[in-house]
Amino acid sequence: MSQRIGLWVGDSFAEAVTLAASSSIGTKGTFGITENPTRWFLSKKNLTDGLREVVAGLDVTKGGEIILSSSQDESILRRRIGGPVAFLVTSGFETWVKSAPHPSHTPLKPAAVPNRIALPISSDHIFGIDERLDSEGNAVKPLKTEELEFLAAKLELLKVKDIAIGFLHARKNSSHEAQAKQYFEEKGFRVVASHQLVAAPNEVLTWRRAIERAYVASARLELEAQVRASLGEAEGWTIKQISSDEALIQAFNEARTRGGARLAMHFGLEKFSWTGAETIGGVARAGTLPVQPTCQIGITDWPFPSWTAVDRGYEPGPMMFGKSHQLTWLDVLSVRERMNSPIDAFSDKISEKSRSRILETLTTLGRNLIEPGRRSVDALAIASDLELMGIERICGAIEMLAPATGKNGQAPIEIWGSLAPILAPLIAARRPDLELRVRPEISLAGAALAGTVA
Amino acid sequence: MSRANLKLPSWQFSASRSATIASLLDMSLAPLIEYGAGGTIVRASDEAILIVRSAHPTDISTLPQSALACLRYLQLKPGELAILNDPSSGGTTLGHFTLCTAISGGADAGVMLIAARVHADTIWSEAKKLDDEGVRIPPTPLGRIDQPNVDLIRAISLHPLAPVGTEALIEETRARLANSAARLQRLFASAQTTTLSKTAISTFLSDTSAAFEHQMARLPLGTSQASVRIPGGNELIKLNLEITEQRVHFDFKGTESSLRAGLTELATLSACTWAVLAFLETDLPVNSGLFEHFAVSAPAGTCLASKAPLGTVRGVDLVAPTIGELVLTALRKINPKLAKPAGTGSLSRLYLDFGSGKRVTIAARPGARAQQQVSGANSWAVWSPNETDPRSFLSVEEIERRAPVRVTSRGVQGGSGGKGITSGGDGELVCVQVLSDAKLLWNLGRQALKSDGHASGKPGQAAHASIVRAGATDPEELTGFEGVVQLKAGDEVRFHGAGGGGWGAPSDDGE
Repeated sequence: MSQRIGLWVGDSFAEAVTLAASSSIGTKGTFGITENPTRWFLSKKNLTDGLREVVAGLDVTKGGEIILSSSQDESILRRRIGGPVAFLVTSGFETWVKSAPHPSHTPLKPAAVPNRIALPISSDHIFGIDERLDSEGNAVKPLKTEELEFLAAKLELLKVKDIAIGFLHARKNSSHEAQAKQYFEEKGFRVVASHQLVAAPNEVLTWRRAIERAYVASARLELEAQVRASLGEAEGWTIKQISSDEALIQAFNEARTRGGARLAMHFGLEKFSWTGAETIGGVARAGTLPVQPTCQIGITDWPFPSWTAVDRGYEPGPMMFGKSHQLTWLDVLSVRERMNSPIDAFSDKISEKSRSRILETLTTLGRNLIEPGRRSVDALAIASDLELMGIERICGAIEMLAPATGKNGQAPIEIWGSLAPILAPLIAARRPDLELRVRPEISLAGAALAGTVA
Repeated sequence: MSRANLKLPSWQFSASRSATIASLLDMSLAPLIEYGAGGTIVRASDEAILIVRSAHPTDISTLPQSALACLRYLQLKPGELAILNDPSSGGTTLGHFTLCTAISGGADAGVMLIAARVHADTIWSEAKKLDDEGVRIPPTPLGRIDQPNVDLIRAISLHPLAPVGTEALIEETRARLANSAARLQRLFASAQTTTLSKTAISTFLSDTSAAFEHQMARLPLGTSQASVRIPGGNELIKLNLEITEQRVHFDFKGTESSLRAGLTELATLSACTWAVLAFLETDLPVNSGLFEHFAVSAPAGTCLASKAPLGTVRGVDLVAPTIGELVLTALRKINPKLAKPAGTGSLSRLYLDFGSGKRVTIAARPGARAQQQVSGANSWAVWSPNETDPRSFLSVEEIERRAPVRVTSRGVQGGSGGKGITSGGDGELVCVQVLSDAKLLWNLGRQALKSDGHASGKPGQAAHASIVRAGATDPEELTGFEGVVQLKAGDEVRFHGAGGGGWGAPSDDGE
């Protein structure tokens, strides 16, 4: 087997794990990895430079495989840093994809304004094509090449290289979409055709996915280029991109097969996720936990410090890094002295002076609180309560996602990720009945390799 | 009246537990919420509503009552399943099904009810009777949550007035309700947790009540009167709105009766409460602690306290949004500085009946009114915001699968929004060609009215519909608020949605 690199690229951190050609499960344990991943802060060292240091230990001239997992697509869409996209749609429906209802919009509560996530495409880049299929897939109007020729010239002028195609009833008859895709690819465009994507409940959701996929295409290529740059002139390397969720699911499937597990929770620096087999048929799925590391703590409609819907990320990072004024849950753990163990790429950023600022912030946020017989509440008491409630939410999630019943009910719960040594004891203290298997060495980078090790 | 001397309650620091309880209850309802179905959890012993999640204004008070009706009439036990849609048992329209099951909350918390409501296709008819609007189901046992009575479900779905796809809809909702119920069961049964103890839940409800009092500080104190006529029939609705420090009272004394549009008193309370909560944009959980601050007086015999045989489809689609707008108008009368509501019209509906059970309803949305800093949203029905529910808004491909039609265009009716410094949102455009003879029933709803502008903004265009007959080029306008017309194969129906009003005087070149 060739040498492999598992790589994870987040918004602020990257981590990498290498496997030499001779590695196998028999000699090195689960996924062939026992070493912790190499991890670095991207604003201090860019992806190419960081990865170059990682591959210094390999003979890159021999080639190999890089499995790159990331939440880049999500990040690119959220931060709107993708490339310009054109959308070709059945004529008469140019405004439908933007105005149609979308399931992500409504949190099922009274709202005076819609909470719509805008599509990353200008209305000027949506073009109606005079073609039509009926619900049986019969062509009511054929697709004409002349129309595509005109459009190709226009897109060249607009410098748009990525195209999404969405024709009605394309799942019934994909010939029109396939014809248009082939035409534009021959002209050098990158094309995503809706019929080739995983089926969504309706055409609008499929079209949206196609547009989003086209939008992130150039950024994905850019990411791949940065990775290749770390390999110098070496050839023989393939790069496969998967999502963070896919990486976690394949890692969970490995864990379930080898040692039994009913749930795995990954406590990474940027995100807390779960993966388990809650669905019918035992197919694993992944999701996010109700507590996130850099979730902002503030006053919401509950007039005491609680979780807000804002994720502060690491730019500039939690208050404990000394640069931010926004309190996060990691800051709460920090004043509770849970962050004292070294965490690669992380610990050297914690500022000793931040503790007093965090406590002042908690005092300010807790100004509406009283305790019987006292004028105000101690900030450390508020921190203790917030820590407990965070663990309570995680334990509630465990209870809901991984029942301790049935065939798999007694299997342990795996705790992965760089923050696992911090969270696991807190979970264990709250739920001593749970069997936890703590494996901080299992990172998203390692999880990316989980499907490749014999 | 001033809030200057209002003493806000202070909090035990462990009250953050209540926010965590809200989060855990939400997580248990997640399988339903993902599906776009409303969900509620009710504690049976004292009928306390723990949480309601729904995107439809008439659901938030009625959904929990549906669950309690199942308890009351069926003595629902853990694991048993029931179904209902009857408005007199907490339903809204006959196209909105409620499934309910019970779980054991353990010795401490007792029996809990968990219910889901899903909105199926709406049946429209020329008659105005409830029993013409669908198949009426009182609280009815449906087997067990893990072993439902499939014969009964099939029988319901085969009724001539059952919405298209009823069987699959009920089964999918049941499966998700089962998943939510299992999650909740595990939470309560966990021997280690005290988060969901009886005491903690009671504290959660009282914490919500106190937290909501903080929110109510943003409402103006006082009373105001407002009235409106229901479009299409001119029935008068009169509202006396009274807001005190701890209570909002909606008094509809003087409201007229109606022979065509009815809303139960509970649905009326629902719509009023929804309007205030939407105005406040609160993230607090909707539960008993919050509901205790609202009261409604709707005189018997009026269209806001209607009973069978009066139909409710028009009540839910037309009267509920009208009440919502009225509440917000009344709020502004107490304090004119409040922003004008974004809501404008409700859904309009085109209902095509091809006979032999082939039918389809197409809902079309208005544009929203502009605000001072924000243009109105396109195609946004404030009073029917459930954009997660694909059954309320059929996709083009689904419409064409269900009925012999070709949708020739769907999207936004450009230019229908009123001009202003910020423009009103554009309404929806729908053009449909029928491929077989059909009967068209149309109802413009509140979109028949122009959405007025604010602060000298221009009004939006009112909705209108027309037919272009096969072989013709000139459209025939469909006049009136609602009506029926026969279509021949090849005829095309065109619906142009209402635009929202603009905000601020437009510049000269914006005219």
